[in-house]
Amino acid sequence: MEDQDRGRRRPYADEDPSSSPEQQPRSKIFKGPSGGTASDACASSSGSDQPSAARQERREGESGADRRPRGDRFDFVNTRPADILSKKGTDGQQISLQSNFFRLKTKPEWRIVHYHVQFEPSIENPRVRMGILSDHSKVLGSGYLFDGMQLFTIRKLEKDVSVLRGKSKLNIDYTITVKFVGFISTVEPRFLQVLNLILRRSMKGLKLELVGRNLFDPHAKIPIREFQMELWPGYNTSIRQHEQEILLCTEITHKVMRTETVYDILRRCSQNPSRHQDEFRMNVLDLVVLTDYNNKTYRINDVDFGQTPRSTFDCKGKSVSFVEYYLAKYNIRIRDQNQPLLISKNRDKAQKTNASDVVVLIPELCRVTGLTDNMRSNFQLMRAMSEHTRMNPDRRIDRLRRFNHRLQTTTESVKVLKDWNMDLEQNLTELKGRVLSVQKIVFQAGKSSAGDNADWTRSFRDNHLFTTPREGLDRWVIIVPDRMSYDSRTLLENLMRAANGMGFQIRRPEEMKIYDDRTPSYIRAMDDCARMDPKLILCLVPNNNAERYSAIKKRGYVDRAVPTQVVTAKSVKNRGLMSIATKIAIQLNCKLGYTPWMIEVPTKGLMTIGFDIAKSTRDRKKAYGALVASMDLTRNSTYFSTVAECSAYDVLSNTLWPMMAKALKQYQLEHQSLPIRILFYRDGVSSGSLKQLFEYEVKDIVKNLDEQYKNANADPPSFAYVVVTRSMNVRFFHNGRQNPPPGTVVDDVVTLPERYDFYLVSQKVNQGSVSPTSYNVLYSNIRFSPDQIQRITYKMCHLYYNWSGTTRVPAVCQYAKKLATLVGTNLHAIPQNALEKKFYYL
Amino acid sequence: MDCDESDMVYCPYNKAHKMLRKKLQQHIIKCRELYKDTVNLMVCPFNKAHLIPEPEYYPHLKICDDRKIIVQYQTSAAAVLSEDTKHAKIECDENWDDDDTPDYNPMAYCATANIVREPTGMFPAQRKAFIKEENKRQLGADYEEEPRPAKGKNREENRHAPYNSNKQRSGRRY
Repeated sequence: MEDQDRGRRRPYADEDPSSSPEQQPRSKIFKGPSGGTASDACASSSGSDQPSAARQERREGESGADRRPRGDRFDFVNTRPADILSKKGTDGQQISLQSNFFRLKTKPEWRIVHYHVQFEPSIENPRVRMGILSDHSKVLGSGYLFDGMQLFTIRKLEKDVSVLRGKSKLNIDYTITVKFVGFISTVEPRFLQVLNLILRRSMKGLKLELVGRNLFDPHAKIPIREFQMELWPGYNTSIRQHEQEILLCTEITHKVMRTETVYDILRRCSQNPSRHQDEFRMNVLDLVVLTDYNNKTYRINDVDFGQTPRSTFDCKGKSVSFVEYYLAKYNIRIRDQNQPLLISKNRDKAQKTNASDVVVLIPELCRVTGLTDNMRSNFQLMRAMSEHTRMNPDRRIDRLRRFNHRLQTTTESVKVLKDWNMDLEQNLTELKGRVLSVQKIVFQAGKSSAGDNADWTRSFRDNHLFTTPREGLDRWVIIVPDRMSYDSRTLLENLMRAANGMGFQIRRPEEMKIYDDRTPSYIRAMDDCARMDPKLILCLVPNNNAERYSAIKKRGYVDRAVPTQVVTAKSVKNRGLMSIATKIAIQLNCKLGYTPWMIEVPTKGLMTIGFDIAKSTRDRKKAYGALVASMDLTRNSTYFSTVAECSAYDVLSNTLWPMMAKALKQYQLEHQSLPIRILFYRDGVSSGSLKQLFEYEVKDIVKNLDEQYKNANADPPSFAYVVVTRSMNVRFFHNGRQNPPPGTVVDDVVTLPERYDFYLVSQKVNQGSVSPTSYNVLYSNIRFSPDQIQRITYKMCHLYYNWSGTTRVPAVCQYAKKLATLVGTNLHAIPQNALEKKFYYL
Repeated sequence: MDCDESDMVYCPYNKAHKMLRKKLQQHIIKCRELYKDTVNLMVCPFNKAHLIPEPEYYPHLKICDDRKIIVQYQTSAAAVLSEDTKHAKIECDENWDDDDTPDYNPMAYCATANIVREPTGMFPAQRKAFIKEENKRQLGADYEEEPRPAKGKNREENRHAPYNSNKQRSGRRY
């Protein structure tokens, strides 16, 4: 019984494959005219629809564009083949852009032949296998790819099963059996895998080295000697099927290589025997190291001082020492035979075996990579690095062009491309995007334009905040250490002046003097003022000591429900105190539950929700998921926020629905009805988990929403679930040297055909190249056009009140991230309910 | 679920399935489909990761840790904002209230487009059938793959003494 259970991936009941949902709709499509090419499909207008057919679909209970279309949807497609809806919007001004993609011209009559190769006796090291097989290149032809197990060629060999013989460098005879497996056509996904392998082979011709998953150029390394490290420039390439064509995406990336091995660290540690071990351990634990001989990276979990390279271990029944092992397998001589050994728990292997597999490493052979936390907090180091890694658009484009040029002119790489008939375009892919219209920011007495740079900081001089307390901020407390009383007077003066200019009355606070700046003094003062029930507590602190900050926040948000503001002496002594005071005044306004500015929302009854997760800094197993929901922003510009604890190991959220239910309840309380439309932005997840997100989160929410609305006798809800990711690889450029302006939308050419997705550049950056944000509408029955979804997303990027400009992700997601981080880093507990409608976490 | 990240956990549907803690969610998505008729586990409304057999369901609801998400909300002071946080309706040039546009379905585009499609989340047999259909659709109905060599032949060539491999033993049972 056990064997059957383990390997079996087929459903238990003998399901007729043709009746499963994936299969059935497809057979229906093939009956219709299949000649339509991609460009025809996209050219149709997005607004055309058949109201009756559309409504009929809606009534069916199963909602529109989920990933398993039902039969009726395809009947709809068959009767009107030219009107397939497009995911392109129409609003905004057209703009020509370049992107970091190159077109790949392939020929449809290609067929790649796939073989499986076995060695007798078997060889473990794939490089040795590749070496031996390369002796037979005459038989295999010049264009072949072998990764150690599988062989791909362009031409079919004479026989289905070929037997070859070879000799390794150590003069051992091997028998090689090459078996035909099948053909790979140009429409199979494996074809793309092979294309990526071909590209990698051709890039190897440029003398690039594989480190981890990408190829880097050690010859072009940039030394940063002051910090004992080098930056290796490299390329992150991937060939994928995009909206109409197969494109190669190339992104410039850098690897941080420290110029020392773990052995060097060992030597640097104190020679004092009592401290030597501890110091070494402290320096080396949790480092990621690279071993050159197999090009793998490991994380160091422990150091074993009891063993040396001369110790033996069990290798296939024989007892062999590390020295002998490395000599035999990799031809490496270990110089210091007395060094301690490093332990790494190999987590990948743990999946296959029952216990966690332990890997033992030699310090001499481990090269240190990556940055430690110490290095990350070293401001000078990060600045030195960012000079090289943060590139302006023109530099980036230049590097991409040079990479392409190298690829197409270096003999070795050209040979590989020619052998496989691969034709790579020389120029960056051009595409058309649109710049969405500039938004209007709504203040108390009127509207002001956000400006072409999406920055309205200047508007505060002439405008009043949208909503402020009618009686102003009265009944509040400021806690000041004795020696900072001068600073507190300066701060209050500026605060009141700045706030007054924005229509926000700040009255004199109650002052609580404390005699030192130790944490308990602040806490005691906070407790003492509880009697007067302050609306807000402001603490003036000498520096941003994290422990004091956490204690203040915890007292204010977990033990009690009072918004707090922490201001450091540095801010007060700053020359630009007026602009800092303006920002603080806006924050205070928000923490009381009022709104600094708003945006025009062209529809009522819309609730936008953002969700993000942050890990706990104290407990590695915990994380916190935060959900922030807007009310109906046309009439009520307040937000509801809630946090729940979850496991740090779970990618998908388990407590999403209870949190959403709370948000819906609050909306109902304030508006006496449930929202008409719900737009959900999911952050904190990578695009690799889309299918699981759908199965686990989306389906659950849809089912629960339907139930809730039915119980309330309301019309069924319109719901859209959008996955927000910071795109790592995609870049857009304008005019060959600039960043695209804020509000740029791209929804064609480089988007993925199997998704309803678009890219939006919402923010303005002054340094380097901007990273667009990718939005993927995973589920929608919200019945907005793509245009409307894009525009409302861009509008939502204008509402983050800590910043008088647009943010990279919609404000609700940014709030969720801020809240989750606050709880995970400082509070480590769930804040009180009474704060759920205030921006206490700003 | 409090364990170290290198710990292995068991699938609640089948104790024989063992995996890393971080893969548990993905596994449950697949396993709950397979076992939906045989093993009846109910999902806790407070936390989807809690899968409880039916007899223990109601007792669990009373002691579930994540009740506090809802209970804390119900029992502690509600979040109330004062009246002056409200404002008049913000007028806007456009009105999308009555707009009704059908939602874009990417699958409809893919089904007729000249592109490589990825069959995600299917079991191997379905995957092969999908690829075969795609080949026919795009390269012509008469696209024929050359017949592959029968797999059985290879196994016979490599077979050692009968008592060596487990697989062969179970193969003999049929």
